Amino acid sequence: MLLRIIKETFWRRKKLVALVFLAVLLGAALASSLLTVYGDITGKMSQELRSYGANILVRPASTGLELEVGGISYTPPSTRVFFDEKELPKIKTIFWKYNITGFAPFLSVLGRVGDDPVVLTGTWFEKTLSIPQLAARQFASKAVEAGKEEPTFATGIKQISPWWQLQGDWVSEGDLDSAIVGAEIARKSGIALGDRLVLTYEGKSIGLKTAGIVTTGSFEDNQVFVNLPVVQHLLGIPYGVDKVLVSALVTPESKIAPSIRLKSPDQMTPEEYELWYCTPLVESIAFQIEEAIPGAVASAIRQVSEAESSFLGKTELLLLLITAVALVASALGVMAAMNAMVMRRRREIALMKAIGAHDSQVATIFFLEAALIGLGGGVTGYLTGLGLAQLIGREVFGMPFSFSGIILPVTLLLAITIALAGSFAPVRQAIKTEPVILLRGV
Amino acid sequence: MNNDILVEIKDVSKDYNGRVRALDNINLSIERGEWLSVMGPSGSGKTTLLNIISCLDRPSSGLAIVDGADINKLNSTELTRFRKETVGLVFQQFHLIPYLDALENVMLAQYFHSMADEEEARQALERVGLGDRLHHMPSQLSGGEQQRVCIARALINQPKLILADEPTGNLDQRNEELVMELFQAMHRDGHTIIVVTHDPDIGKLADRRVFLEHGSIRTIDSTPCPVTPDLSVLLPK
Repeated sequence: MLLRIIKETFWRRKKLVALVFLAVLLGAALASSLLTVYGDITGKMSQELRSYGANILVRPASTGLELEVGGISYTPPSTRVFFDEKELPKIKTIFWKYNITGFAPFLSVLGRVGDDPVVLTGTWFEKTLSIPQLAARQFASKAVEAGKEEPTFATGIKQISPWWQLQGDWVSEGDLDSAIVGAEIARKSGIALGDRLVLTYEGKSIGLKTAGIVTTGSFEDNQVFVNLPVVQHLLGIPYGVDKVLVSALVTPESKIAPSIRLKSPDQMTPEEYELWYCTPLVESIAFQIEEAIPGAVASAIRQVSEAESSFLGKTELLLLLITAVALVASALGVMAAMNAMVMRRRREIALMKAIGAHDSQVATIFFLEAALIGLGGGVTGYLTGLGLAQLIGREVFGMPFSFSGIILPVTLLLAITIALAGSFAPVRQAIKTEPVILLRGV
Repeated sequence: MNNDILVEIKDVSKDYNGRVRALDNINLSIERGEWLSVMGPSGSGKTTLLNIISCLDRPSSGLAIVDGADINKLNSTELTRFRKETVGLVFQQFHLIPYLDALENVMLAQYFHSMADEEEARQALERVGLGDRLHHMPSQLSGGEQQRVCIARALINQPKLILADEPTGNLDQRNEELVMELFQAMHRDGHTIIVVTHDPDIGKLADRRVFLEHGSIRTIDSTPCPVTPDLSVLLPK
């Protein structure tokens, strides 16, 4: 009987039912798309933010006092501590290895071009590494299949510093005769593309061809960049590296409870440690890098990681607020349409009550109608929202958002809640209808 | 209270918005199995009295006891439960749900009462002569047929009291006769019936006639009815 009444209502009050459906659909579509975006925005934004620079600095552990100005070490080479370049591929073997988008080593010396002091920095411009098939520490017991080809990973400064404005060409891997000159040095010394410059360091001199001129607006403009072996040769430390910048996709700190993130790993309970370790926080990734490279100290570059964390947190909050506003607006739409529905069915409600319907029975009819419309609107809204999210992904980030199975039940739950919440006041109005209006002929 | 008394109205008044007095100090007892007609001009308080007896409304003052229950002491939920178990309503405008067929309209009252029973609803419609109209929609039925569906719906839960507000007000004379025959049959079966009517010929069919004027009882006529009323008085002269 109940279903018969609901079916007939849907058929006879098509316009009002369509209005409720539309209100739910819009709310559900927005909720579905924004929740899809919310679920994946951290990854997408983090990927975008990686173009603003590396967020982890790895240095060799040192007991002495290091003197560094503008990212350049002024400590005499004899007292400087280095780590081995050959250890660096291990960075791609940590638990969150797929979140490491690139890294580049640096080794600097203070040389001269003519009479001007110049910082000469050795690095990787474009380097293809073979990644050792080491399992992450916790899975170390699982042996690597013998004879399996090692995967490769393309990295270097081109990868981690996409904002560099380069005039000319990158220096290819293995080219020990070319350099990229900072724009400020080029201006002062009148160096143009293709020019040769002679750089001296402690009596040794090397001739370099200017392959490119770089402008960053920062201290890179006052440096000359060459392939790493050139500086290693000058210092006489084959494979030595004094710092590595790592670019990693991270999640905001707010994703983890303050009670955990304020502790150091050795203060955490096993459960807290597992959660912390398995969340791609900048600290946990830095910790894993330290585990992978013995003698290394990895730390978050605060100005980048905290700005990112704050930005991502605010973006997520904004998305949640927009979703909440959309849901409230949708519930108000449902309320208006359901109110009209109740007004038009006043006599019918009065009759039902006159022939013995309880308030709860009348309310059940309306709430069931609302829930069914909510379900229909929720399914349609989910599909619409999914399409909308893919459109946002493609138009804004250039790639679609990944599908998440949890969005469907959450959207349906929200849609039904919108429909029921929006119906609450009209249903209260309905059950207040006095059956006596039938006899008064109102 | 005498067990033979189904409805006891003592000093009942009803005011609307504190200004309009629809009923003024009414005293009335209705016995079980009695057929009472409530008559009077428009605005005399007939429908208000019916609303109070049918538990659709409460008196502003005085005592209204129906089947032993003081309706002023019942809350809204108890009043609804009491109404559906004690009262069957027949309306002038029929008030059928337009999108349900005759059978479903009767079953709706069963559904709200306890549980819909199609066979029982079918029998109720057959009793009012609509066995061949079970699946007709209200719009496909004549006024008389709609009123008979309304009567079947009022009877389906075996109420102790049948209340009818101008039950023949919208019917032609032929249908009026058919409907009143049904009321007589209900009366013979022992139902207590209260009919609000303008029509003196309908009023004559009752055991007693209460005449209201300006919210007060003007007279009560207890002249006995013929054992078999002559319904031909209802036919066109």
